[in-house]
Amino acid sequence: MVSSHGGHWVQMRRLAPAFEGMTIHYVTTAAGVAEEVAPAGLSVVPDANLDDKLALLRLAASMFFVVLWHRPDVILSTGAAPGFFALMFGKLLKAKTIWVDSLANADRVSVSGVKVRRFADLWLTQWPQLATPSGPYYRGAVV
Amino acid sequence: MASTCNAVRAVLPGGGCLIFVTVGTQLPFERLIRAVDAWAQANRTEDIIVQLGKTRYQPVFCRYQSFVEPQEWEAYFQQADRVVSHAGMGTILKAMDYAKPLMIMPRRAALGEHRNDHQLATAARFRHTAGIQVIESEAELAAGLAEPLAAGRGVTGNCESLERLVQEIRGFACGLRKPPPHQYGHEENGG
Repeated sequence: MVSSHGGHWVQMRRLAPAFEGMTIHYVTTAAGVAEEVAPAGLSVVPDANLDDKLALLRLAASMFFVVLWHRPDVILSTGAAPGFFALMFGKLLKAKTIWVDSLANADRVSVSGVKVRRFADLWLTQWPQLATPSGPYYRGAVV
Repeated sequence: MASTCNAVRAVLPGGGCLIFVTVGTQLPFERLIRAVDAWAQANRTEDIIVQLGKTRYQPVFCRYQSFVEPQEWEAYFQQADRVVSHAGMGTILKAMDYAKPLMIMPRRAALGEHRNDHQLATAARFRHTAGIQVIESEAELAAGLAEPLAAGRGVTGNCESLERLVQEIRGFACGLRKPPPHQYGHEENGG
């Protein structure tokens, strides 16, 4: 389960019951949540957004190795950029991929949410008015 | 972190509520701050901390800070008995995280409080969420704060909606159901 620290993380944690009984590994951009997810493992990757291309490259490289190392069967993300790269590399490695666009994106799907469509098997929004017949789909929300 | 929490609680006058008021860092929100200050004037036993952000109006009957460090903000949030804020997603999500009773006043573009009315949409969306109360005026703020806090009144959210989403994800992850088809884009085959 991959997400940026903060609001994306809070939402993603509410989805953890979906993987009950399975081994979960978390990936995020700040180490402070290690205790919260224990005994599940946590990897920390550099944070980045579209404003800083160099940071994006660092993030991508870091995420590539995390995904390669763990070889997950399923990858879920609520965004933002870390999740995009996780799904992209995950798809290359034949994982099942799930994108749940952040609840904060009420007016339109996030930039990474739009870009990730080709890498997401299950492509979801948490706002029914943003759903379209060709995706993303609305299947509920974290609150 | 612990010492900050203790400092927050230390000034609490005999037995009142600690109310944390936050309006974000981007834009002023004088209407809400004035409403809180007016209520505070009439209810002097309550302890109120206000994060002003860019609001120029300075409360007379509440403690206030313009800028709050992230750790301090977390401490205030954790220690508060109630939170009052603008209808920002960040605060709503935090209230969810800490299960705090939350009152939100949506900013209105017509009053210059925001660039658009998406906070009205957010408020409408969460109007019936357990633990969240939408207020539009000083009178509604006062009425809301007059209600005694019951145990378990924090934001818990819509269990049905969350449950549905969890089941959808679980079904897909376990291979029990196929995802709805969508176009992957020009360069890849679907599925």
